[in-house]
Amino acid sequence: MNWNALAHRALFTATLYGQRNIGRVAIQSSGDLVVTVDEPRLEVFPQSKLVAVMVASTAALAYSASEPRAPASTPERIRELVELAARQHLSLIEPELLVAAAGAKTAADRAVRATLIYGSTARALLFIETRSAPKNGLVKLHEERVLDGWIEARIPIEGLAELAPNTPTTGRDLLRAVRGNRPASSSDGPQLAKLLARAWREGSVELYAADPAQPLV
Amino acid sequence: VAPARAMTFRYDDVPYDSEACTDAHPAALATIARLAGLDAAPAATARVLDIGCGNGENLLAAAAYLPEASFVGFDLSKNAIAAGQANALPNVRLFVSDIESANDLGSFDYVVAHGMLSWVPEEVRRKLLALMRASLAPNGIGFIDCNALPGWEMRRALRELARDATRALGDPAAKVAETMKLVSEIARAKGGGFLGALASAAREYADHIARATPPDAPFSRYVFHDLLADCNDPFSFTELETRLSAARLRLISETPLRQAPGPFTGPFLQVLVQRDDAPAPTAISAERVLDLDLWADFLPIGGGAYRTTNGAVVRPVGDEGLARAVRSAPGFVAVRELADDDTSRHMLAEQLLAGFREGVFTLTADRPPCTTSATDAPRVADYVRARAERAVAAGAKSAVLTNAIHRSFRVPRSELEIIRTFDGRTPCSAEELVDRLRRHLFLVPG
Repeated sequence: MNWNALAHRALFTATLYGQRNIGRVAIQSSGDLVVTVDEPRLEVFPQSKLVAVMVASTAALAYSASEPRAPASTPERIRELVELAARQHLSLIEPELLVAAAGAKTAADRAVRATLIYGSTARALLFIETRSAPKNGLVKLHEERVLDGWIEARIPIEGLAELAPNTPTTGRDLLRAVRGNRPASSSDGPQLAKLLARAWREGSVELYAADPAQPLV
Repeated sequence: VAPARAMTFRYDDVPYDSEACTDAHPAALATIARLAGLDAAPAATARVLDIGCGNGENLLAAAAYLPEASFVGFDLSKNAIAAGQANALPNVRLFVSDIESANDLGSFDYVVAHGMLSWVPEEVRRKLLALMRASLAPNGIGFIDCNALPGWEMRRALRELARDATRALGDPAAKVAETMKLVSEIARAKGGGFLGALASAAREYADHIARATPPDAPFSRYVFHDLLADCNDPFSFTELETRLSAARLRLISETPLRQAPGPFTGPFLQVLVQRDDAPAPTAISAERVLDLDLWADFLPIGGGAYRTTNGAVVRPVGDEGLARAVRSAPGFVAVRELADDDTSRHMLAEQLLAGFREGVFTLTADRPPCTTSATDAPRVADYVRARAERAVAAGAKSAVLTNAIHRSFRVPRSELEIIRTFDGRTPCSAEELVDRLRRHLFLVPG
């Protein structure tokens, strides 16, 4: 298990989902953000206000060899995890789906579909304190934070052409490259951030909230 | 016991639309077996067992053309067996049984387990393979199919999505409707990587369901028993071989034959198996094609080109090979008679084997009992005629009929009306048909 890569992904997820003041990321034990997996099966959630359980779909693990990789889960198990967390006053938060959103009312519905449809090999199920959780766990994406971090493209990204960096590049550097020699516009940043956030959700780009060259855990 | 009860309920509650399985017909199995150098029994007198036969349509459709062959089938679903028994043929025995109780059935030249292995609980899988081993004659050929990895992975994702989305629904029709709504949404998704592959699989699945669902069916029962089934586990080629080996069965070949060497990547796998103490198969050989018959189903489409039933277009040149086969169309022709010398025969055999692998040509080890000669009082198999009769009586707009090589076609009512009269006694020449239409006031001026 590549815990450092899992932690980076969990941290970026938490950042995109609007979580702030994450000082210490820890594996399976206390920290501002605790990253864990469901293998062996979780009986109790780690004590933290912010917990990321990393899961994958079986089909995604078979389809792609990309890292990081989390243990495969199932819709039934994801729903069990949500119930388990609720007993510890933790709630799942999930953004609106890009695909097949109809009928997905709860955060668990969206988490199941996102895990299966986008085929991530390691997806963070992010749990926060229930008292802070939005209605139905529906969280808004804070896309503006994307450019504060690092970007690494896995495959060519539609809309970025050859500018998609295949090694980690800061968002500001990428924005400069995208602008090139043309006059800067205030919409350049938001447009690029939106495009990258979507590509990240579809699994074609890796985004980092912290320098990936530095070990997170 | 619990899974068996659940399945009894499911298949009795929601009947499965069983159809003939072309690749599981004894002649189709004999063809592949003989290409692999095995001494398979002739279809005309074969003893055939179908494990989990549903309403027996796969057996009945074959038995209708092979009166000297004998067919036995059983299924857990009482309703399905009752439906099959209502269409009884003297050479077919259908009965209700679970797999454990179905023993001492005798020895069979062909044992078919179509739509079983992936869709039954693990314990039943072991018993299924054990029963196949116990029922196969020393030179017998078994047929097994299953969902296959890695090709089925995208279907797995669709299945998990569908089962999750419909978990709160009780009504099978509502479950299927919700499933197809979700599949359609995913099919429309744009994107690369996994999402693109999943969307492609969703489109393929939706197309398949649109084609396979009978127009008069209230909903796709196939979706209910496949994507939404309680049991549906895929196997890799290697895992299937391991399971067969544990049951003292040996894999002979896939069917249809694989087009190119390399790992199996399709989502669905059909294989021929044999007892592990039977003479082992040898590599598929083009030379053995010379001992087979070719279905010369060449329809002229102009410009010296012909279209086969499988949709392939051929342009034969010269006097031998396909050019000679074209002159024999329609009907079956011995491959050996299509060329005059060994070199030409060898080249033709290679060409036909390649076309057989691609599904362009139909080869058979056993020429089916059908005629291509026109008569004034044509006759179709009694079973087919009865099926047409029932469909017309029920007011159906169409019905699936199965031909002598076990291929099924959806036939419109207008043709069913004619087919039901083909009893071998009633005159039915073109003139007779026109006369009947005139007498029944169907013809209009112009």
